[in-house]
Amino acid sequence: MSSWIQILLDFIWASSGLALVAFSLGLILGELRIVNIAQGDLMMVGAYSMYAMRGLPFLIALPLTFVVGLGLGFALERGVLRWVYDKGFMATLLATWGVGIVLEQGAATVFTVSQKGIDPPIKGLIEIGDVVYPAYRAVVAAGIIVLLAVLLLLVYRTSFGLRLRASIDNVEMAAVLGISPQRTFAMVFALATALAVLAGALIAPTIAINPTLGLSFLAPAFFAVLISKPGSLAGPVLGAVAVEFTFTLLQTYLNITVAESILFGLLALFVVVKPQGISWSRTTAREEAS
Amino acid sequence: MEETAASSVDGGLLVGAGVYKSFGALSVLDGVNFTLAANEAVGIVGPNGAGKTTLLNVLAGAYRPTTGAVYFEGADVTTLDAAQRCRIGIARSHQIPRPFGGMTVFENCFVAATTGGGFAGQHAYQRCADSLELCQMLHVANRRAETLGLLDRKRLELARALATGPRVLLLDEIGGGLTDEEANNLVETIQVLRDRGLAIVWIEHIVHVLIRVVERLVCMDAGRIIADGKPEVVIADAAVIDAYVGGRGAS
Repeated sequence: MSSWIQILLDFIWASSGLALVAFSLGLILGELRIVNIAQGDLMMVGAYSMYAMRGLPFLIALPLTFVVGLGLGFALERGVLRWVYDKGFMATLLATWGVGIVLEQGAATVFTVSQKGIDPPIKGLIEIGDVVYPAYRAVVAAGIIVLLAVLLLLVYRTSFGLRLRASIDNVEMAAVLGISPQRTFAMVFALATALAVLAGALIAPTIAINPTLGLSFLAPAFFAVLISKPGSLAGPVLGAVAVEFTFTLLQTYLNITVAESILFGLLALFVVVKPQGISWSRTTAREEAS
Repeated sequence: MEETAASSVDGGLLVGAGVYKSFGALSVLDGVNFTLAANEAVGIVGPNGAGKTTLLNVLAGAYRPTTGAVYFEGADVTTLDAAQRCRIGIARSHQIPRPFGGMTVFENCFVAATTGGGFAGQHAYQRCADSLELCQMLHVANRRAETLGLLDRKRLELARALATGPRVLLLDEIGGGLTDEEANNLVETIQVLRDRGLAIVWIEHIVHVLIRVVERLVCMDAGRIIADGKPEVVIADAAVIDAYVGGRGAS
């Protein structure tokens, strides 16, 4: 009984962080049609930002880090990505890969490659029955769930979200109605970057901070997006829960290496069996059909 | 040049004056003068490649003419893009419907009313409800657009254009691909719009459908207007018959 509560809490913790990253990844893929390889490195930036501001109170460093993310995202979109949108899929893939390498090397130069760590702002433990769990993780998981709920309400229940979804659905038609692609692209990338940076900042106190920490989050986040419905912004969130649920289940009965191998094998199989999960050319496909 | 443009502006709500449009070496519009009066419904016919859709694109702001100008309500709007022209009251429907597939029918209209038309709150809501009712789409208002059949997609294209609150409606083969019954149904809707005083430019291949709505017919061939007048006169015009059945059009 107690071990199941432990597993459940770990599952909620892991899926909340992954869901935030997957949401931001899905936002970029949906609107900009770009696969952002640097998404994990953006998390790394968030973690280092919190490390750099470790002298400040956590609740001041966190919003500052979010602002850093907004600025970084805006700079990357205006400075790098907008030059490669019309150069094709491979160009945008390589551009974001390059951005990731620069961020990793930059972090290694500034902070060296040795592991860093920061203390969680909440050090207490919560007790549920005979299970003891770090209060920080519980608070962060709850915070992320609230944040995602707000973001999804924003997307599906406001006129801002309506314009965003129109632009994701058909960027040319939206432009005819006066929804500027340039402005939407810049805004979406800045927001998505800030969310990934925020995710990195929130998990920073629970991990060893190093320049390549983002890598381990990238693959599951991609699968969370891939198995969800194209263009859906709620999809990656559910995808993240599905990925973590499968992983938690496998990990309960198998050792972690085997569990990971089987997880990615299963996900790859899923993508093969349901390829519409990775087809992002819905509009084009329909126009060809008609 | 200035003189001609100014004098042709006077009578028209929407005017294309001396419009040339070429893509590289290919000349698609070869000096078109087109005037649409307020409350007028004009049909444009002509063989494939005559430049009908290109003219519509120039009027809607999707293309900038190579030379020539476009006037709306007497003002030069040549440099305004499609979004800006939509705001001032020039709306269009596309030959291939381009709905926001993942959004509901109502949301499609609402985003058009708010961003394309500049309506807000209750006005935008009412505008959408009216447009959908007029296009007989209220019963599918909450369906996702991608689940609609062709007729409903065409209707949505029309409803979305209407939701922007236009003074001029540019229709590009909105009857294409429909059965006669479906096309008739659409004609009735467009007749209502015309009776409400909306100015309409309608490109259509199905001439017998078109002439039930329009009071003036324009025939284009090879980038020029070759006939312009009452539908029965234009249809009987020798040049028009030649453009349709003449040697070059045999393909």
